[in-house]
Amino acid sequence: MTALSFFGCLLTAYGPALVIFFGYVARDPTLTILSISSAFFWLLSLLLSALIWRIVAPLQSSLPFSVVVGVISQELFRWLYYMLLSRANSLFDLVSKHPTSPLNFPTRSLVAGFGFGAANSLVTYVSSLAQSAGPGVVVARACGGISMFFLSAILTSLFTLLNIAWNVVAFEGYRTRSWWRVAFVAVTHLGASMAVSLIA
Amino acid sequence: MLPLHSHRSHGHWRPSSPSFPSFLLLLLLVFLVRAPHPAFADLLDTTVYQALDLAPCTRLLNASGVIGCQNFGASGVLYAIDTSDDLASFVAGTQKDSYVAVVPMAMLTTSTIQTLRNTGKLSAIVVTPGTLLPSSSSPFTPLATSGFEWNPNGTSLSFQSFDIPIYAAWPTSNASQVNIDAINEAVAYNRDKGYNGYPMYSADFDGLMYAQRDSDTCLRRGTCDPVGSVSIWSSHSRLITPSDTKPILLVAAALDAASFFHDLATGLDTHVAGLVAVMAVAEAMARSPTSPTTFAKHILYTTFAAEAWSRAGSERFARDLRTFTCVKDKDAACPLVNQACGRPCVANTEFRNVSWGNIESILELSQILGPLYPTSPPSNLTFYTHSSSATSSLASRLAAASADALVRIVPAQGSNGLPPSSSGAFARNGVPAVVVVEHSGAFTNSYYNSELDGYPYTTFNASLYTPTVCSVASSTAKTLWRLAQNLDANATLPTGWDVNCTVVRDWLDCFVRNFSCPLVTGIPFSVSGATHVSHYSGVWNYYNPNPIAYVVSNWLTSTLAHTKGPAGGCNASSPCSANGNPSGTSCIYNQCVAATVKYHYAYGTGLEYDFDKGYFTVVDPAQGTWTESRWYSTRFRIFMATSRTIQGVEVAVGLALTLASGAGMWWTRRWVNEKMKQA
Repeated sequence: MTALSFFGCLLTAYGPALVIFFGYVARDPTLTILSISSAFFWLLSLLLSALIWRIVAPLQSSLPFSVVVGVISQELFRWLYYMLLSRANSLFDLVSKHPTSPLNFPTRSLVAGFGFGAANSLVTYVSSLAQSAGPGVVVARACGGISMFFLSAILTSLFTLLNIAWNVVAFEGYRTRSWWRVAFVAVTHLGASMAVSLIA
Repeated sequence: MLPLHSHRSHGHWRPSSPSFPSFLLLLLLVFLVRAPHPAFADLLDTTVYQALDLAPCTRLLNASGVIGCQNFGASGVLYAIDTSDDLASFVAGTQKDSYVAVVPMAMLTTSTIQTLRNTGKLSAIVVTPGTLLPSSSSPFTPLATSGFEWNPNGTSLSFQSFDIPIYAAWPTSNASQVNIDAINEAVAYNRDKGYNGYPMYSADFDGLMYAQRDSDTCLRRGTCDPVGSVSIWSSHSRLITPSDTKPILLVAAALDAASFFHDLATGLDTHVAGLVAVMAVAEAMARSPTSPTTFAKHILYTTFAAEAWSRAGSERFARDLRTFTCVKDKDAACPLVNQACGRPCVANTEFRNVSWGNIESILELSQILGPLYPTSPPSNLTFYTHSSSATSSLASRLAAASADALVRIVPAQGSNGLPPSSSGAFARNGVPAVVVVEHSGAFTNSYYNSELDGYPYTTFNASLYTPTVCSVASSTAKTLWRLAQNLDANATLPTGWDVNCTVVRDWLDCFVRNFSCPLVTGIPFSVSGATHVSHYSGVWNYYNPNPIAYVVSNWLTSTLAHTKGPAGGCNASSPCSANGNPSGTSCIYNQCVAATVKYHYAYGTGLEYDFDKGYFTVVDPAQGTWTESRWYSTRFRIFMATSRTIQGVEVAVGLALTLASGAGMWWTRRWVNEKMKQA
């Protein structure tokens, strides 16, 4: 009965990400490696925030604090990944088709952001997606009574794109030591995450 | 939850080969269909779905077909059909979805179900007690014998077959009220939206009944089991032998009742009153100053199981007394550890000592509750004896014994013969039978074998019925006491000896309102924490009698004990085998006791175990061949559901977003490539 919902949510949440992956990332082995390794870094950031959440007991009952810890941890690992990439950047240039292209670095920060976003969307939404195949829904009453599964699918999709954008801006910030860019990413990331936590 | 699929990848992959993206897609799919953590998935599940504990209508079969309900996974939007106006507007409505009708008990009739089915919009029915109970409701058959309908309110609803699930939300305990509240709340929410504004509350049902076609088919396929339990026969006499030539008096009652929803069977008037009266008679007789073991006649208390299903208990007992032959003493195919006979496989054969020719008569206490739901205990009731032979002195003795009692028991006028009862199996074979009932003609109980017979259980007040039932038990005990000693109908009774009405009240309360009463909890391994247990027979097996049979047999063992250890001589941690207690005793109410109380297998006489085939088969389609289907789960849950239109919009949005991304990607690549070329 709700195979419809399942495919609707699947395409909404992951459609754009799949298009980006198959249409862009997967065509280049270097970019694939970069995106998968950045996804791994995102998982490490999740591990760190989970550890903090586990150790600091008062956090467990406070959603806003959990969100803050999560955002800080992700931004930390975004920077760590940048450090790694900046060391390996010249090596990647060697195997690149256009070793001197000015687009090389932005491209790499873009696919790294994609890896971040993809890992994020898979981990946060897959359980809900599996549930969306059942007949029942949780209703988001503040949102015109639409299904929480579908609302989350839209947010998942948007967060994938946001992560790409944040990564491009943040990496540029790290590279040029333009701290307002880095701060902008951190603040908007926190703002977006806080806004989403309101519907939970 | 999606099933987990196992994926196998073929061949090796290299990053540059075309199979690399497809491998990643495969990985992604494996990720998608696998919930990351079961606990989180459970949490989501309980957020979306509220599982409720409802009583299902299940499927039974006999030699010629099926009755009850089938379910192939129904679901639908909850829709209240409280009145005939609701029904009319549902029929006239233009909604196109599937609906689950929530109907009060008073509306559960064949015609309502048929009308709902004909709309093509009904997927299932949930029954609630409703505010107004029907004045009569008996889903049992009219029980016509020679054109006379004993049960004129019988609609035969229980004997029809439905291809939709029908579940009942019923207050069997105070805790179960939450199920009804949840349903009422959900259906009120939908009603307020005019059944038009999604999301709405919906429900889905498990309950696929495995058994198909008829008893013979399902027994062969192993998808059903014989309906049955164990009958109990008991006596004060330690030993009964065919050669002792003592006449035998049978005192009978039924151990079970039926209802449309088996889990809700109670049968307060249908069988409980008669059963409790027989138990009270046994208890009084055991206290007789003259030991019943010295009486000129044996008294046998027989309580028959599965009586609602072709009189399985009484028919099999009567037949085994007459014709039982043990073909083989021990048989490997008989699963019993202690085989009294291997083929047929039975645990005891002492019933063979009850010689058919020695049975003088059978006295059955059937529907003897009096009016249901009185405001105060009734006074001056007249009950009736129906006899199989005019010459029986039992009826006139009962009339004499009850002449000054609260309930006078007089012979019924008319020529309709015996009412449908356990005695039929005996009367048909020449044993004079007398049935004591509250009706002179047709049943006055308008809830015969219905879930309303005894409802509402939670507020059941046993004191309202105790004087009536106790009065019948008292007259019966006095009659038997005189008859068993060959004394005349007005012989003086022992001073102060009578039936104990507290026993009657306590057992009525245990059977209907609170099964966790001291009388039950004092019996080892009895049900704990249950308030209301079903009086439906259940399915037969070698080892487990149903809860009613189990507690009755244990209580009778304690009451009729011929061998007793000291009171308090045993408990759960100190069994009767220790502490120098008499051997062969069991610990009941913390005392080691032994008595002549025996189980007798009760399942349809048309069914027999085929030792060569290794399963039950139908040997006589004309006799009782009832079997119950097996099923895996009868889960019921409610949840919020969106409309198909909204689901379509979700797919459209997903597709649009994906296609737009593809187009954007294509356009961007082209633009970048052009710029690069220009550069």
